Amino acid sequence: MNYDPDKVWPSGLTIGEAEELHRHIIDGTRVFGFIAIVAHILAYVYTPWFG
Amino acid sequence: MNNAKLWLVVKPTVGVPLFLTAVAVSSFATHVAVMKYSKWLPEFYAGAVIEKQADVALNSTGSNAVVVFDNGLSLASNGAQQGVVVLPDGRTARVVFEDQNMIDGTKTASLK
Repeated sequence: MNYDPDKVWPSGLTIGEAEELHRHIIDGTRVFGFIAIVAHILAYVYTPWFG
Repeated sequence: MNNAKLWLVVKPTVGVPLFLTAVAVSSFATHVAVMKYSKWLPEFYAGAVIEKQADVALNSTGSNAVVVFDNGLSLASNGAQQGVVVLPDGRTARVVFEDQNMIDGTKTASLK
């Protein structure tokens, strides 16, 4: 395996790769959060949650 | 974005599935807890709201009992209807009802 000074161990990713992956993780979390907010609004409107 | 350095330490093939599983498990556990410990959600699934509607109907008609039919069943058809009987003292029971006289414009019928 040719030696690559940019790779950082123990995971072996470069900083750029790590930031790219993390951006996807953050975006996915935001989508999950948005869906959860919508679900809670629907639950608040259509169920006897909070009377 | 300084948290991105996490992936220099944790291999994505391990970290990503672990993260998603943790979110799924905690979300499932939360739903179980609300289903188990809240009063309103189990009641909601059991259709207790229908009986609350009966309280409203009870005052308007003054009859000795009111039948609130399960929504979706049309009262017009003469077939047997299922519903909740609400007596004036608030006791309720499920009922399969053959012949009802409808209170106009509502989903309730009264027994004279």
